[in-house]
Amino acid sequence: MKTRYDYLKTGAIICSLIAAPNFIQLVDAQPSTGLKSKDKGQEADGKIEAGVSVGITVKGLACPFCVHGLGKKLKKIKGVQAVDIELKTGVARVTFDKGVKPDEKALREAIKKAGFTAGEIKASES
Amino acid sequence: MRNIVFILSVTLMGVSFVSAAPITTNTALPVSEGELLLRAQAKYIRSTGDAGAANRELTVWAAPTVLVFGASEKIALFGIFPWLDKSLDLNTPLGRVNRGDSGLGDFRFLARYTLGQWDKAGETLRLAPFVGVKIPTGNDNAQDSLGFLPAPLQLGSGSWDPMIGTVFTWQKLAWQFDSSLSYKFNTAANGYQFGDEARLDLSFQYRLWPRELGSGVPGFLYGVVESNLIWRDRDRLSAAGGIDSGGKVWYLAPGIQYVTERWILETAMQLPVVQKLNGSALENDYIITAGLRFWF
Repeated sequence: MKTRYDYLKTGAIICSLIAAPNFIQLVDAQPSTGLKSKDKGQEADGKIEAGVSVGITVKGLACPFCVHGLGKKLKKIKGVQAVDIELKTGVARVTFDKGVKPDEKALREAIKKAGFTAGEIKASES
Repeated sequence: MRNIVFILSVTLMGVSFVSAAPITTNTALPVSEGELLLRAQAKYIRSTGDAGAANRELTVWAAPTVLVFGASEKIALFGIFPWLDKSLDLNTPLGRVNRGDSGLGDFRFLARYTLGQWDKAGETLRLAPFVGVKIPTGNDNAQDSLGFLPAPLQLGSGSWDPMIGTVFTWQKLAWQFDSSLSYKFNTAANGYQFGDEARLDLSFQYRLWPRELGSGVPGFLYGVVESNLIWRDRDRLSAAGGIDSGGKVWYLAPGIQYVTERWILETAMQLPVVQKLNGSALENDYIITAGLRFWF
């Protein structure tokens, strides 16, 4: 006989399966995966649609004044329509023009030039 | 007269030169490649309480403008351009007189390299050594009705003085800690050599508001406590050798700072806790600093 816990567990699994496609992972920053970033990035690269938004974890970002240079660098990337930075989570959401495919290398380079470290990059809902 | 030198030197060396955070000292936080930052400060220094017959009273206004350029993600370049007004009142056989000068002081240029950087979400640790040089752009031969002003009252030293140092910063979303250790090698000019100077500066900033971070990039109100420990070697006159000057000063500086994405407003008051000065040096009462930083 199924307990209430079993029903909750089943529900959680179903929810996570539904939600998963909304978070297409380009690069896993967690070293525990044992995969090289490049390998995973290449593997997932084809899944990123043109004209989408991506969320990038920016490591090292911890004050408002540091955000300005980062935002300017990201906005300079070709095809970037808007940049929204969430200081609390350290995530920069970059929205690209329609038809423009997000360039992971350019995103990482922009963050590096701003003096920070790029972490995980995920497609996000626009 | 020469014994006012320590306070004047402290004033100018105490101009912090880097991008964000501390008020009276430095930080290792990044300056984005190709970006330009302006920092403007106003400092008011008052030294009174001279027990001697001269009853000296020193007032200094300093307005250093700092331009910071991100040459790369690791290298930041700094130019520091001070405007100064030095005024000393003292009793002389001719009565109470005022001596001093105002105008541009000696410029300083520095390069900072981020040697170590450990970043996590909402947190960073950085170590950044720097080198620099003070160049003799300020007038160093001003005179008044009593003759040439003594070296400490001149706007410039006339000397080229290199400096080295290193800054360590640990920043989290709720607080920030900075420490800076620096040494300035003063060289001789016009027969006078200011003593070398070493500094250990510490700064702790705590986010007072907002208590809970909301969405986007909110402005931060920081409460700041800073410490400046400064040692100065004896000055030297080429004709007379070492003179009774230099010493140690320890300041504590409470302050407040409002930080946004584009600009920072800040103020702090440096209060001397310990002043062990050689000779009959005039002790400092306080230093008030107010400043603005702005990204272009």
